[in-house]
Amino acid sequence: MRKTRTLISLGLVAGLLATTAACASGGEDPGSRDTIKLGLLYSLTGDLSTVETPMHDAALLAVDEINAAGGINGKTIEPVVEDYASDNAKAVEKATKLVDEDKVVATLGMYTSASRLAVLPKFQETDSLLLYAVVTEGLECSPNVIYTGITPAQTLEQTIPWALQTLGKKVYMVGSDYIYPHTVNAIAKKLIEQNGGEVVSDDYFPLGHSEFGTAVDKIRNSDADWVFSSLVAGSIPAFYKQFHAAGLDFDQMPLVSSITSEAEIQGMGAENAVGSYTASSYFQSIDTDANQKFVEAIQAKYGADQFTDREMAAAYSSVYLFKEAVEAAGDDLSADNLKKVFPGITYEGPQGALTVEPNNNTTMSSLLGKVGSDGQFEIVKDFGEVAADPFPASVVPNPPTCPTPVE
Amino acid sequence: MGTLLQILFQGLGIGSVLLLGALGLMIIYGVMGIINLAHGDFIMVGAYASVVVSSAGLSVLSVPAAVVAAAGIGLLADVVVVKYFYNNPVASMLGTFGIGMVLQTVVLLVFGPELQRSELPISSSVSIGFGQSFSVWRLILILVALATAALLAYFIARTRYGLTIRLVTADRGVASSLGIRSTTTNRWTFALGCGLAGFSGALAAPLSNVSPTMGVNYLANAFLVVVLAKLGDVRSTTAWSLGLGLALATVSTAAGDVMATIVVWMLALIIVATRRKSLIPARV
Repeated sequence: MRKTRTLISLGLVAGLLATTAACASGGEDPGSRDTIKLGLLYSLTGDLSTVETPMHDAALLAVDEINAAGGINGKTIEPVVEDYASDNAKAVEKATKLVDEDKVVATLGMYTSASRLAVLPKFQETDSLLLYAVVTEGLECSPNVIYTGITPAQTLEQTIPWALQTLGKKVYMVGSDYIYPHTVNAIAKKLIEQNGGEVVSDDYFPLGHSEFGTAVDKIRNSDADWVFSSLVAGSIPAFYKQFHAAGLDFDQMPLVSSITSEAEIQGMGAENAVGSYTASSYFQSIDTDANQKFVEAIQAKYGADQFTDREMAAAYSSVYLFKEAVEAAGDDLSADNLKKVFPGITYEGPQGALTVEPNNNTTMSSLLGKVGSDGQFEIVKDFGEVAADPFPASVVPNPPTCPTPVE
Repeated sequence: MGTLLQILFQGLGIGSVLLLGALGLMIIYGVMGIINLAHGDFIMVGAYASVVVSSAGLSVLSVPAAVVAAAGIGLLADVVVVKYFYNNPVASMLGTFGIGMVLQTVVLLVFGPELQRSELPISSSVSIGFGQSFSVWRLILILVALATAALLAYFIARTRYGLTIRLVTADRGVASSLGIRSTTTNRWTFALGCGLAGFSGALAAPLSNVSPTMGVNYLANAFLVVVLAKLGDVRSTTAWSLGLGLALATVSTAAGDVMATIVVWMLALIIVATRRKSLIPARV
């Protein structure tokens, strides 16, 4: 009896294997036909859809533009869109589908560090390529990821000395309680101390926290000259609004953020953001032809009141970097070859010039903007192009090699 | 002294938002024995209704519009879904959770995922002595929350409908033998609770943000209050809301907001665990 059962299960397994093999051989090699498959893995539903849908929209716009202009080497880009619904377990499932079934040439997407870390093993195990186009804390350098978002050191090393000189020496730091703000604040703290400033307080708030009454009181009663904020997402409008509700404004108590963008300003209203600073690589107000074209195209496609922000610009530019890389790669579109080709790829777009470096991170502009009464950033300082340092010495004394080989 | 005064005012401020959020959940739970997991989403509906009406230039009507929209949708939800779960509290949690998902998705489809603008009507502060000042809007919220609780208490204790509510809460069987249709009472109670949720959404939104998923935080906080307070008792709900607000303000001033969240939820856990009272009332 037991033997029969073993035989049956063996047969089942064999059948399953045969089917899988048949499926696998049925799939095409990447780029073998007249399309080039690019996976787009974003949350179009759930909590994070607020931020990820615009990124997905911007990426699709770039795909449409490239295809309308004749594609890449005569082949059109075929976007394979998957919605991981703000669920990291689902993200792994979808990444597996994109890599194993769709056999995409590369995947663009993910948002939080947690979501990237969830899918990272899949990309590393199968030696596939992920384009990660989000502002990130760094501290990671996978050979299978091209990081096209800005890292904190790229903005803070210029902004902090400027702010200490212009706004004052005493700084009150606030941040959301997870890895990105902790890393940003650790780097900022080091820079503040190195440049003769003083950190008055370094406070954290639960992710999604929206009650800042006591925090604003503490800031008001401190002797700080300005506030450094790495609060994220829904906490941003809540904090800025309650700052004003308490009768404060950013002229009396300036605020420098590492992350607040057009998206949050639209959500809180310009009157609650006016006078605040953000250090970034992109602002909607950048006055170049490339950016004007980008903003107009986004607004033509998604409505006149659609803003553009750092994450949208990064997603859009990443598709163009992908195009440049595929062109440079020639006929061999294997991830192995793309990985070799990517360093040195450049693209001049809405954010200005981008260059992917041998450390898989991207050199880009470092800008400081101040919110005007129209809710748009006026660029106060242009620090020029700055290279990324995923392992800043201030937080990682002994940085690993970058890219870090997969064990 | 200045710090103490500050903690007192901030505590009442936090407590008033908790109270506004909890009243609607409390009345539905108290009367119907239904834990309305869509409560946060009805708060969200209220916030959206107020944003829509304000952006049409009718700021004066933003609060009434929020109440009407949330109560109206609540009534509809009762007719379509909730009424089938009157005698099944566990299934009703699933049912209301489903309503919440539908509301979120519809709002997402209509308004998109982005944050909506909810303007702060008053952004100034008043001096409260000892060199401290306090937000005028928060002060208004405290007064409105207390007035709402008082009105609701009066409504339940002194009006004929309130009497019906109390009778149905106390003994559904006796109520129906006296000719009271508990279905009707349930229906209007559900609408009332949802209306209260909409009300709090319209008032709390200006201090925070408005998005399809904003309800989660409100639901968690309201749930905490309702679990701690005496079932269906407005005075107890008010006391717990303000008490929790003061506790949050004290701990967050002394040890930060992360610690405040941990301490308050730990306290709640200990209180609920030692009380040994089932969440789901046995009478239903």
